[in-house]
Amino acid sequence: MQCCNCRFENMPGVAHCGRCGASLRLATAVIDVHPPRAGALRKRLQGALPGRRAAGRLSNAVRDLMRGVWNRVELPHSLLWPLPWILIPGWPQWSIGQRARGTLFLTVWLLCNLCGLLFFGGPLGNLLLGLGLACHAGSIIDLAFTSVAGGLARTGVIVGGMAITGLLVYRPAAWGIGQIVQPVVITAAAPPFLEPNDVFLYRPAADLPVMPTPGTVVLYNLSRADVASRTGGNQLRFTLEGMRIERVLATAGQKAAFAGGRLTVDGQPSPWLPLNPGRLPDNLTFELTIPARCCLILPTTSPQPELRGRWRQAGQIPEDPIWDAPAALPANSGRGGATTDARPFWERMSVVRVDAVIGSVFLRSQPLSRFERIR
Amino acid sequence: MARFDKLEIGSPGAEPQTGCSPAGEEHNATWWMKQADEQRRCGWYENALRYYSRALEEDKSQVAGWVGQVQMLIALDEPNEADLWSRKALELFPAHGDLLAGRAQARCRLGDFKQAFTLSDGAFQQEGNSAYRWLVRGEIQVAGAKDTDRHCFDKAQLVDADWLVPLEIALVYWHYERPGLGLPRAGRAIEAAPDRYYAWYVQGLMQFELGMNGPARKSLQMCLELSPQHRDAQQRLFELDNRGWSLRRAVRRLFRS
Repeated sequence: MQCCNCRFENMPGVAHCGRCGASLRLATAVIDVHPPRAGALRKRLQGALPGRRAAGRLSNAVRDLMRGVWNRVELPHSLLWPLPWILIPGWPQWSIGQRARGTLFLTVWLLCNLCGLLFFGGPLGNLLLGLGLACHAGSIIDLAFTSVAGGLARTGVIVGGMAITGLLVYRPAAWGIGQIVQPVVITAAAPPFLEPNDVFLYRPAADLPVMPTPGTVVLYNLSRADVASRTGGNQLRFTLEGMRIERVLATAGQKAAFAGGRLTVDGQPSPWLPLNPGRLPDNLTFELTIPARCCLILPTTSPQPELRGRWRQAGQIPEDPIWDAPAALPANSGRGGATTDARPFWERMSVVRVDAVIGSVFLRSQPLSRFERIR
Repeated sequence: MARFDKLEIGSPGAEPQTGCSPAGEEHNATWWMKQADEQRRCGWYENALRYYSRALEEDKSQVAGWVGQVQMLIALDEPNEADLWSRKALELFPAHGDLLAGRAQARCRLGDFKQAFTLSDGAFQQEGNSAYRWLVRGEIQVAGAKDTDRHCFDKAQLVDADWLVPLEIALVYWHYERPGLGLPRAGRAIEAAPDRYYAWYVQGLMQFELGMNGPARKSLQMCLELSPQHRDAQQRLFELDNRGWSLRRAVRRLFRS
């Protein structure tokens, strides 16, 4: 019997060709000869979609890529979609046998991210985290160039991989970290406590108790105020605004008194002092009860005012507008309009509403030089 | 006389009998194959696919029928099904050159160029030669944006002088949106078979896409002369009369891409 596939002459009675293995009883075999067909709806949808060829090529490239990697990795089949390969840099390279390259990607990524978190908030930290991100992107690009054919498919894998990674890894990570800790970088000096480029990490106020306890160092918003002062015969106007870092000294309902450079709260000497006690005026004396939903913060970390031009003369710059202002009436307080509050200006700036607290500061770092826990 | 009219004793044009096809059914299968081929040459791929299936119902050992089915599925833009069907056919005819080429073409249409290359290599390693293997090879080159496609297609035309070969090459270029490259191939098909309306239609299609309104109108009218009921040609002519100016077509016409 001659094989219809390879024309090899086989012995009579054999079922399969001895050369190519084709069945010699095809003519009598029961085989469905009608091919499967694509559904009309599917074809219509494909036709309606723009760029369907490109989309088809792309989806097939991704599917084949994933299938190829899947076959080599032999992961448990409970993982239905091979996301982890893209989400972890270096893993795809490992799974297709390029272990050295995969290890390099993973190591660089881990190093960059760990060091970036170490210097979190500062320019160096941002640079390292950016490098980590670039390393991850490089892993996806490398995967696309080694395992996907065709420029369009490659571009699709790269763009899609990065989008998936950004949405599933970096965006949630940024959100999660932002819920736990956030950085603030000091730009203006307030010596001796604050130096430029200091990075403070703080826990957002959502994690704080309703009322911060005395001794907590907090980041808070200073209520905006325009201050008029007179120095050396010249009229000066300052605008106080922005965020400050200071220690909470007393909370609502407590009686705070300050005399002779010592603070007492409810009649007991307080272990706490402002962060820059040296900037308190020598003759500061007060006794006040902290109103509800407020806390006492003596602001000593305001940056020193800078004057331009002819005002920059020794002796003409006030030491600190907040503490110097009681001598003069404030021009206004809040957003315009004269105030009728008769309290001294420093007192109004020291009694801070709890709503203005942004978070509790717990760590200070000066990149590559020091780390200090704020107590 | 009438009593024996429908007896099938064989015909002069019948293929030589092979060991695995029982006598008596060969004629019918061949007839269906011819019908399928004729439909294919007219561009009626759905009908051709049906006729190939009918031929295989008569004789499953007709490898050309299996290959034709795979080719028709690809022509009907169903590469997934073509891939599946070619795998099934390859189980019956292991390592058949044209079936391997058919699967390579299906994989290529699915964007899997690597496997397409491997399958195409496998097809060439098998016995014999065919224009289809070279056509598929050329298609893989086109899909991979490599410039050796022309050599492969020329080789295909050398292997088989049938006018269908350059026409199918033109359709490959059409599939990959390169009507400028497909147009000369369609022209060759017309040179070889000026009486085939499908060749005129394909040429008109390419010219239409390139914005060559005059030649396209002429080709489509020629197609309608040969086949007055050709709806696609009528539709294209209608579009030709009603469409405006397009920068894309102008650029394509300029660079013949």
